[in-house]
Order: sequence, then structure tokens, then C-alpha cells
Amino acid sequence: MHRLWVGLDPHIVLSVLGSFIAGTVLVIHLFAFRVVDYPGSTIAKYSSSAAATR
Amino acid sequence: MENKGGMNDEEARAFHGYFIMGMSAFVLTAVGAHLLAWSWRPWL
Repeated sequence: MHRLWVGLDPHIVLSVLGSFIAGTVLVIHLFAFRVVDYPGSTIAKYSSSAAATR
Repeated sequence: MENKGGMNDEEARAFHGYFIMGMSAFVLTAVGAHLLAWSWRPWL
């Protein structure tokens, strides 16, 4: 399996891999936040009159 | 052909070890985060 990397520059491999994973995780979190309705549900919970203490 | 900056077989083997270790840590962290998120708000 390691032959995959033979001839490649480790610095380039790591920067491409890191950027790809970071970008993908960012996009996935956009869908995840929508699925769990965050922060909408939290805003609704704390902006209702019941939450008002003064 | 002079291998400018590229890994030879031995270096690739070492790199692969670190790569697998890093990806395993990433997956374990993601599993933990998903368990916490599920306990907070099941999404299915």
C-alpha cells in the first residue's frame, strides 16, 4: 500500500490532503447544522418570553 | 532520474505509517464527536 506515495513530495501530499479534509469537513458541517437545527433551536429556546427573567 | 523531493520506497513506508496513524486519530475523534452530538440531539 505504501507504494502509493513513492516519488511524491510529502509536503505537497500533506498540504493537499489537509486542505481537502478541512474543506470537506467544513461543507459537511453546514448540512449537519441544518439537520440538527442549530443555532435556530437554541435562539428560539432563549429568546422566548419564558426565558426572559427581567 | 534524480528524484527531486520525492519519497523513495523506505520513506514512503514510513510516511504511510504516519498517514494511517493520523487518519485513525481523525476517525476516532469523529466517532467521539458523533456520539456526543447524538446524545445531544438524535438526528434520525
